[in-house]
Amino acid sequence: MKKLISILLPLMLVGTAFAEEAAVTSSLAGASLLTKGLIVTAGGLLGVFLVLILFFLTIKLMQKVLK
Amino acid sequence: MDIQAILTELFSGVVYLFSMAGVKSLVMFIIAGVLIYLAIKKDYEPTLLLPIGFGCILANLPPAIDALTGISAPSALGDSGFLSVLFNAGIANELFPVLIFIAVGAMIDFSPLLKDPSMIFFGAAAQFGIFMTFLLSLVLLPLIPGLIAEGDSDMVMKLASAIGIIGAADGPTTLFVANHFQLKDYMGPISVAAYSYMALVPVIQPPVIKALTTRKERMIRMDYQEARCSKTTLILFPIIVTIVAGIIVPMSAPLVGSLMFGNLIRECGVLERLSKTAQNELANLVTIVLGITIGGTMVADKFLNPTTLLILALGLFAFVFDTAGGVLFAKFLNIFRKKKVNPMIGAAGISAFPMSSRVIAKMALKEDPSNFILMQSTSANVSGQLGSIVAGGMVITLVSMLIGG
Repeated sequence: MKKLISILLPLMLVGTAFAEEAAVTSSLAGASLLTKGLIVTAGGLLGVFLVLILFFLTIKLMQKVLK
Repeated sequence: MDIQAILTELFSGVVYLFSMAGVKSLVMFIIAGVLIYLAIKKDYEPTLLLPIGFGCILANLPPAIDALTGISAPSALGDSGFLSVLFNAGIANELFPVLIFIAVGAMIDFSPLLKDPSMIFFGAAAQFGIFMTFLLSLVLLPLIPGLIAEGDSDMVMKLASAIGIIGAADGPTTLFVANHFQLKDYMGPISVAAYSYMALVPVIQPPVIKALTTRKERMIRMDYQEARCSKTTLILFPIIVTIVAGIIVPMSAPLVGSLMFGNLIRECGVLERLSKTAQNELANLVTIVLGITIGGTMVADKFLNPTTLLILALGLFAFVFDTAGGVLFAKFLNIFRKKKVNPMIGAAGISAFPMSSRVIAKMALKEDPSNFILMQSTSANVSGQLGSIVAGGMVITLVSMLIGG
């Protein structure tokens, strides 16, 4: 599990940052609905996983500190 | 004024029922009747479906002409009608969803999740259906003639977001997203779909799970560590989660914040009276006004159209794919894990708390009467509560960025 997270976390951080960066660029304003939809889908799923991974790490950290 | 005009005026309500609009109202009364029947006879989410059904009746009564404004509308829906007042006071400004979340937070016990935090990932995987439905809605909505003005892709994105979020199995989040994008005309079908499918979790989830798992997989046993969860952890958890979510997805802050505030009241140990009030009086009061106000948005003209059917169908699709997403993710994890996870746990990652976890635990017991996975499914289920809020926040953030609004 730890291995999986160590691989996924940086990927997601980069992915979310990319999705956000991409979204603000003006070139996407005229993009097709499907392109926008794919950006929301990819960014959204990555974002949800990222935040919940952070919650997971928070819980683990709390457990370690409070032991 | 002659006698006929006076009689027509006096019995305008009866005359109305024989008009085209009146026939539509009668259809809405039947729909309201079905909701009330499901609530009372079938016990499907009665706390919500009954007020929604009754609100629907009130919203479709013959119109009365306001002597001051001259506007013709059902008296409960006029400018000063109580349903309009409730809508503006509680839904248009997102107050009711937030209050509901304080109550829900006070009801949730996060300790099963804190004991086994790895379950949190199912709360993310089970949001898969939201995004698949969002994509599908983007394809289907423009195909409905007259629904959205040609070229209004922003409106398609907004409506698709709200429809996708139905899959969160989380009424307040659905309302929050729909309201954020100012989809008042679609509030009725969206919330009816969200709350009806939540009530139908015991009907929707089992066939999807069975289709994706073998009996052997459904019989997988999972260890449950009876580890102690310190009070400090229980108190720190809601505070830290609020800060983390607020920093990463600021749009989710009102919902995460209110959920965690309710939970902090519960766990702090010094506000027992407030905790009980949040769990009972607050939850009951807001549920009453929320339900009847949602019902008040089910006006025939806006409800009786193909869009409603499409929203109901896509909502079901979202629920099914959320369940499938959770189960498939659990199966994917099993490839890497030594200790296998019962893949049914993944399906509990939706936000319908505690119904989904109970359904999963019951299914496990049905396959093997000595296989108890209630605590694990509860962990996944409370994670789903967090996951759905975060998903709602992500959808609002990303869609707002892309449409520039």
